[in-house]
Amino acid sequence: MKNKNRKIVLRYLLIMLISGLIGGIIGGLSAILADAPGRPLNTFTDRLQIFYDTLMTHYTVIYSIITLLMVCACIYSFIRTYLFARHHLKEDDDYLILDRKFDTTSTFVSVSMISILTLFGIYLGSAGLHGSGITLVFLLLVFVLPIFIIQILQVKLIHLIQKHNPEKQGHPLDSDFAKKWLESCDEAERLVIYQASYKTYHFLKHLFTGGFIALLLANIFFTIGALPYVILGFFWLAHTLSYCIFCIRMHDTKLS
Amino acid sequence: MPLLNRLKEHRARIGINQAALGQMAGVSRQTISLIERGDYSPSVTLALKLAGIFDTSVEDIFAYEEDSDEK
Repeated sequence: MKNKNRKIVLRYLLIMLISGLIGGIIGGLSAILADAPGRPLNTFTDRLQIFYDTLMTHYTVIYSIITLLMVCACIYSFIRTYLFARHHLKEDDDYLILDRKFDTTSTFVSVSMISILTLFGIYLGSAGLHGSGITLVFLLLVFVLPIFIIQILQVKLIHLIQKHNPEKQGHPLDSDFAKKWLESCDEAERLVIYQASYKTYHFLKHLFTGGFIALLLANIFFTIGALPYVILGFFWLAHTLSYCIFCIRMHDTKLS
Repeated sequence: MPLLNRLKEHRARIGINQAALGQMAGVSRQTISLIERGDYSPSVTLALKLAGIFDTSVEDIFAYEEDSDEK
């Protein structure tokens, strides 16, 4: 056991050493490239800047197309699930397929909601509200209407799930919905939720670490300022602290 | 910790589907499906409820198979 622990520590130290060396080499190379004849690093960042400017010039069109595609994908997925639930449930195995369809549609809808919000945020961050009135109204329509449609799809999907799983409680528009839904889950469903949550916690830990490294690398090529570090640090702290606090609270509560 | 079960057999004997059995036991159809596939070991409470529904003992439905490492 002692040997195994020693191997783990040595392996960790080796990884840290190699990572530090690679970081040093990348940092050194970028400093050399910055002053190299022909300024290849500046050429690379200039090209990235041109690409970014081109993207922002046509952002309204790109954003509209992506949003439209996402909403269409959500509606298509929901209709397929609805039709399957209506016409194809005969054997026990059909219900397994229905569960998969519920999961897929639910994922589509959630991802679309977050993506549309993010894309709109990017628009506000880059162009702000200084566009022409027509463009602004158009974008609000392209933002507000898709969000409204996706919200309706979310509610309809949950009602469909509840129709086939009558034990599930809670109205999706209720502020207490998550609590009521969890309370109506049985032991196996809760175990799935808890295991998925724990895996998500660990995945996010690695994601935040990777994100921090990505910011350090990006800082070599671009002037990104302090804000990305502040935002990343805030969410990383919130993620870790909230998990620790909930664990501590669990010591004094009844585990159901 | 492998747990062998004859839940599907008992369910077929009394002629009910997974949803109906889940309703009788107070759990979801998905949980019954997980138990039958061997992907989930039920709690003691649920095992006793299922035994009561089939009017048999827990040992008649579930059997614990020792790993070869434990022998």
